[in-house]
Amino acid sequence: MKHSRRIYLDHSATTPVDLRVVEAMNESMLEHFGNPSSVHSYGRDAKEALDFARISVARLIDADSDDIFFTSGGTEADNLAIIGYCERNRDRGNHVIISSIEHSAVLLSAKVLESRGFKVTKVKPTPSGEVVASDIEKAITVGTLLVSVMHANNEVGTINDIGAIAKVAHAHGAVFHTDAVQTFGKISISVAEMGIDMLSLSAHKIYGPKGVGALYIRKGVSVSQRQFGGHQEAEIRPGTENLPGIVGLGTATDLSRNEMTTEAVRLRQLRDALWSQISNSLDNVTLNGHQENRIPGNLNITFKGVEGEALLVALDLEGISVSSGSACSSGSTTPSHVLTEIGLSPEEANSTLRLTLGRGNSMEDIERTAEVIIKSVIRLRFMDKPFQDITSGRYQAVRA
Amino acid sequence: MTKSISGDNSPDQKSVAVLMSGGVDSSVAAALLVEKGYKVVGFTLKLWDAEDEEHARKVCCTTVMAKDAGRVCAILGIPHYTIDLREDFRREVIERFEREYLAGRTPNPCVHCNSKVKWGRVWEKVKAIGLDWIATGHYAQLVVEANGETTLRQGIDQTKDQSYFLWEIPQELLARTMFPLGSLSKDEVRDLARKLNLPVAEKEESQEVCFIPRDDYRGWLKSRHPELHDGELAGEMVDETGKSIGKHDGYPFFTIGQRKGLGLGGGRKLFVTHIEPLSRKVFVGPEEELSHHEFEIEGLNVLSPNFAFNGENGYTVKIRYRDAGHSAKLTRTTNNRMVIRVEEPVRSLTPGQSAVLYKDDRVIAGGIIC
Repeated sequence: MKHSRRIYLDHSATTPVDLRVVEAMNESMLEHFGNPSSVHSYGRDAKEALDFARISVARLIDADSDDIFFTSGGTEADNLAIIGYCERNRDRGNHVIISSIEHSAVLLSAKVLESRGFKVTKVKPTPSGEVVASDIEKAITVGTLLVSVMHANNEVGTINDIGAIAKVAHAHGAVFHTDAVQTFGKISISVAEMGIDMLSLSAHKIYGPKGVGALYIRKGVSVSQRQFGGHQEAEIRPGTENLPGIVGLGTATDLSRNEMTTEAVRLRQLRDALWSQISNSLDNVTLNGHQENRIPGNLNITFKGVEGEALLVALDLEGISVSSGSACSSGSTTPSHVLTEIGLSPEEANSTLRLTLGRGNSMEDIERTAEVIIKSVIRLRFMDKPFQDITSGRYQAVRA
Repeated sequence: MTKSISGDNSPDQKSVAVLMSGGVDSSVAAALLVEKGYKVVGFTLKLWDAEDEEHARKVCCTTVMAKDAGRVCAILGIPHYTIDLREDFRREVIERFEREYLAGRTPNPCVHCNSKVKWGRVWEKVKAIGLDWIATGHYAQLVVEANGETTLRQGIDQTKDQSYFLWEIPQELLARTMFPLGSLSKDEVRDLARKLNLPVAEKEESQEVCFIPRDDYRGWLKSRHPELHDGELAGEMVDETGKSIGKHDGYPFFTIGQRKGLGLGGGRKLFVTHIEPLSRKVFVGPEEELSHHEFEIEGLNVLSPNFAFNGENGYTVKIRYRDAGHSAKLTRTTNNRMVIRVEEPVRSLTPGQSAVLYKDDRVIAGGIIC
């Protein structure tokens, strides 16, 4: 349990705020603290900061800045897009298509729609975690209003060809929304080229603050508001703007744009090194998700015969922070819906860890992590016997 | 002869997993170990789901209590994790509890929770995670004898002593266990909790069987076993002469020594003396019928290999928790069984309950009353 410093490998859950972001936010709070709706100079300064952030976000996804609406984060953006669009356009249809491995913000938005009389089809991914356009097309009906498929999965990291899915949706008169919380600022996105009508994004996954995000809504696509008040955000999302948060999002976006390409290359190298060290030293480990087409820093590994929660604790006690399944679903050992949807058994799902690398990680971190994982997995396989009664010894202690 | 109490070992930077229920006792146990310089990690077990929040607040091992344990760990500055062992608890404790009642016996679920869940799956897991010791807030002592053997002894506070519930733990695991509260009284533990500003200092004690709401095991059994509703296990009440003197609505609703709720009306004082699941008969009789001079135990666990059990005197047996104890002669009949002969007859000997054998304050063995 001795460790000189902690190693954070859970960047898909959240990220530390970049110091440059903190500085920009401080300036916003201390100097440009005015209300953007005010006429005086303080208000104008604040309005300018707000517009700058909007332009930054728009630029990174190749959108018009008028089409960016700030929210309290990815969840609100998803809710607003899915519920807001369908409620507004229910005279034109009553069917929604999502993938079965969406984040709960999308899954539960769809459930709300179901309770209000909409029909929802959940399309299954391939075993590598990819949602395929042709499968979406098969689910489309005359009344399909909206297709919502995440850009990349938060657990297994597989990146979807959302351009192809958007095309299919449009061919049948449906609108396309994507939850891009895991890809915004990490891989390039062009809403114009990909034909995306609505896109959700969040600041805290890209070294920005928590509690702020945005929804891109293409001109001509209308959603009904879910919050009522003043004229802010074109009345789609009223309420005095979270200016420090929005400035933080804008700054984090700028930093990501500048560093995205080199950082992606660096993270891919670190990730591949970690995976090869683990897979060269341990038997019965599998990499879930698409082998190449995945978010740069993502590894999702099943360690057969090992309980993921126990491995997570063993790593945590060594100062290494990872997650088992999705961070949102921890606290209970209900297997991750994403892992079971891509074909893992509940035991395999419960034997899975997600490691997501980020800006602060070095090759030294990777080597230490690999060493501790290998040591812990061997010990757990030898001493702990999870699932023995459930699987009649199928995964019992694979001794190394 | 006593070398050291294992809860008092000089800290050698060994790591200890403390099982924390969210109550006063285990919170103070963790605090004491932190104070002694061990690397302490708090674990809260999620063992079952409470039906209502009121019930969840009162007993251990629910989500509500896990929050309290988490708060205590935050104050102590130690990591805290929850282990979900609902499957193991259901199989090892709840289902066994039901089976025992349906077999006409009265089980001790806490005994099996300790030996099968806590010093079973939990120990397996925390050991595999890389921790060296396991500790709980039980009132019992572990003493390392001059010969290196670890012996289990009663807690100093006789009114709180919980050694009765610990007899089934394998000897070799006791050697990896710490009971930091063994030499303290409950009042001292509460004082310590207040001194340490632990938010659980004033919490009420949890009582009875944790997973049974309102202590109503009959209602609980009924809710889970439709055959008890339909009267399938109903039968006759039979007196000591073999005469049927009434009817009952299910033999699992009775325990040995029970006098109230027999539905036999007035007349002489009658007690449940015996339950026969096959014929579904519940036997009643006068108080004298409850007395026994000799009985047998099974599922024997011997905590000290140095005792031969050849019918010698000088032992004490407890046949239920808070039993003052009875002088007894012990004769081991097989690997698993023992015959116990008590000097003075014991009353209400209850099959399914634990009989725990002591030599002075030391637990030397235990078993289940046949």
